[in-house]
Amino acid sequence: MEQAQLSIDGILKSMAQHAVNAHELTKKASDILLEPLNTAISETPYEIVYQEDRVKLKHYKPSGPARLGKPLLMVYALINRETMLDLQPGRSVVQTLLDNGIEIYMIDWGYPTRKDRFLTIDDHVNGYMDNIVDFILERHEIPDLNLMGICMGGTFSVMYAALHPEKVHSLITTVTPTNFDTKQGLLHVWMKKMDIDRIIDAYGNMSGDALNAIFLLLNPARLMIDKYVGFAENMDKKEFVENFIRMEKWIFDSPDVPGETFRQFVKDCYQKNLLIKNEMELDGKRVDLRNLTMPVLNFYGKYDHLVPPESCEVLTSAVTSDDTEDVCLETGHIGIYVSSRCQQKFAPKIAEWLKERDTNRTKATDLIPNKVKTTQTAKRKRPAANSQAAS
Amino acid sequence: MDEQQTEQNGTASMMSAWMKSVTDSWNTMGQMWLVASKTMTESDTPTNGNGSDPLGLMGSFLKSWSGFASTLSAPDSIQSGMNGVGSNLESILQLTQTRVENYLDLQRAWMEKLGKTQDGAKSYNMKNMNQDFFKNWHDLYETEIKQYLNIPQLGLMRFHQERGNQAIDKFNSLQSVLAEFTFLVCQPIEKSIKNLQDRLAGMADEGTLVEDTREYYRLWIKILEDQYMQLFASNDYTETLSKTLVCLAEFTSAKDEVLEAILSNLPIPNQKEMDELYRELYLLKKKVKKLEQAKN
Repeated sequence: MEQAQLSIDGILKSMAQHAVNAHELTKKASDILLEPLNTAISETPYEIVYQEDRVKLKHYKPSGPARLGKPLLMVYALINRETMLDLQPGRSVVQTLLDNGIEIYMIDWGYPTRKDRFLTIDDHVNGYMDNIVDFILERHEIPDLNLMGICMGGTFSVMYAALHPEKVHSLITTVTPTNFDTKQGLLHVWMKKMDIDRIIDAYGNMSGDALNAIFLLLNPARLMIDKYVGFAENMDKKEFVENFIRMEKWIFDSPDVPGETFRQFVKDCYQKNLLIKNEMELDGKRVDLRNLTMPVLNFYGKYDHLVPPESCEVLTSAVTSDDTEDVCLETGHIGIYVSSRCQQKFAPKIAEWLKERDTNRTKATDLIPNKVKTTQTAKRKRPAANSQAAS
Repeated sequence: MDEQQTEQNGTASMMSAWMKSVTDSWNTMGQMWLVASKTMTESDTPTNGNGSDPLGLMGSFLKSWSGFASTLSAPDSIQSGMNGVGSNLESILQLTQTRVENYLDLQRAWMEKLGKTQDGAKSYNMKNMNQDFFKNWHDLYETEIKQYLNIPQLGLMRFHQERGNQAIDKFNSLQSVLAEFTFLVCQPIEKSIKNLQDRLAGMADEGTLVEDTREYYRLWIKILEDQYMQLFASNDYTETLSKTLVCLAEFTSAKDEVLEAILSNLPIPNQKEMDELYRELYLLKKKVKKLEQAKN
C-alpha cells in the first residue's frame, strides 16, 4: 500500500486559513463581548413567601390554573445554586413544569456564613425543610405534597421522606446519591481518604471556592483547557457566548457548605455509606428507607462522573413502595437540566408522572398570607393524613 | 632555682614599674578632670543641689579607679599573682581542654546529621526527579529538621515562641507536600506530550498524518484526559491529595493561632470568640424551637 503524502504546503495552507479565521473570529468576538449581553439567569418570576434565617422559599405560579392538586417542592443541593433549574428561557425546568400547570415551591439555601457552621443535616432536614413543608401544607390546606430533590438536595429529600412519610405524597429524585460505596466516581474514591475533621476544624465551613477547585480537578483537561478552547472557537456567536457566560455564572456561584453538615455528609455517607444501609441517624432519629412507601421516580445520568449510576440506581430497590421507576438519561450530571435533548424528556416526564398520581385539587382561594422575614414557626395542627399517601 | 627566682623578681619589678606608671597617668587624668568639672560647674546656674552631676560622678569614678590601680601596682600584689600563675596553669589547661572537647563533640554530631542527609543522594538528583524526591525531602524534614522547631521554649514569651515555631513548622510541611502535589498534577501534561509525539511518529510511519492542526489538538486533549483519569484513580494521588489538604488545614490552624495572639492585643473579638458565640446562639435557638414544639 502506498503511503499517503502529507504535503508541507497543505499544512501551511491549513495553518494560514486558521490564522485568517482566528483573526475574523477575534474581530467579531470583541464586538460581541463589548456590547450588552443577556446573561441573566433565573428570570422566571417568583415571590419569596417564607424565610427562616438565610433560607428562603420561592413560589412560582403557573400562568393558568394549577392542574395538580398538590404543589411541587423542589430541594436543591447545598453545593452550587438552585438557579440551575431556571437557567434561561428554553432551558428552564421550572418554566416547563409551570407550562404543565404545576405550582412550584423552591428552597433557596442562601449563602451560609461562619455563623452557620454548626448547622447539621438534621437542622436542614428536620428544621428548615420540615418548617417549609408545614408552611406549604398549611397554606394549601393539604395533608401532603410532592417532593423533588436534586443531587445532595435529593439525598436530603430521601431522608426527609423517610422521617416524615405522611407529609410526602410522591418523591422525585434526580442525580441523587444514595449509595456511596462505589469506585466509579472519583469523588467517591477521594472522599474515602479525606480527613474531613481536620479540614472542618480548621476552616469552619467547607469553602465554595475549594469545592469549585475540586470539581475542576475531576477533569482538568476538559474543564480547564478544552472548555475554554471551545469558547475561543465560538466566541463570534452571540448566543453561544451568552449561554456560555450563563453557565460560567452558575458554575462558579458556589456558596460555602455549613461545616457540620459537610462533616456528617462525608463521614456518614461517603465514608460509612450509612444511608442505603438504613443506619443513618439525624439527631438520634434513624433514617429508614423502608418508610418510603410513596411513589418514587428516580432520574440519573448515564455519563454522570460526579454521581455515577451505581450511586443512584440502588434507591428504588431499597424502598418498600410498589410504585417506583428509574429513568436513566444519556447525559451527565448537569446535562440532565440544560441539555436541549433532555429538555424534551426530563421535565415533561415529571409533569406526566405527577399528573398520573394526582389526587384532590388545591383550594386556591384559601391560601394563608406569606411568612417572610420570620424566625418563628408555629407548628400547624394538620388535617388527617390522606389514606392513599399513607399506604 | 636561683636563676628562676632572679628572673621572677626581675619580671615582678618590671610589672610593678609599669603598673606604677599606669596608675600615675590615671591619677593625673583624674585630677585634670576634677579641675575641669569644677570650672564648668562654677559658671553654670546654681541648681540648689537637686540636679544631677554627671561630671562629678565621672571624677569620683576616676578617683576610685586610680586607688584600685595603686593597689594592683603594689609589689606584693604583683608577686602573689606571679606565684599563682604556675599553680593555675593546670586549671586553665583543664578549662581549655573541656571547651575544645565540647566543641569537637558538637561538630561530630553535626557531621553525623549532615551525613544522614546525604543518604540516598541519588534520589535528590534533579535529572531523575520523581515523586520519591519529594517524599524523601519531606521525610528528611520530619526526622532531622523539624525537631529543632519543637524544642520547648523558655521564659515569659514561651507560648508565643512555640506558636510561631509551630506555624513555621506547618508552613514547611505544607510547602513540601504542595510541591509533591503540584509535581504529580503536572505529570500527565509531560506524559501526554511525550505520548502525542510517539503517536505522531507512528502516524508518520503509517502515513496517516493529517493537515488539520486541530486534529492534533483533539488527539492531545484526549490523551491528556486519559492520563489524568489514570492518575486520579491511583492510590498515590488520593493519598497525596489527602495529605495536602491536611497540611493546608494544619497550617491554617497554626497561622490563625498566631494571628489571634496578635489580635488579642486589639480591642476586637477574634474568630474563636465569635465561634463560641455562634455555638451558644445555635444551641439557644435549638432549645427555643424544642420548647415551642413542646408548647404546641
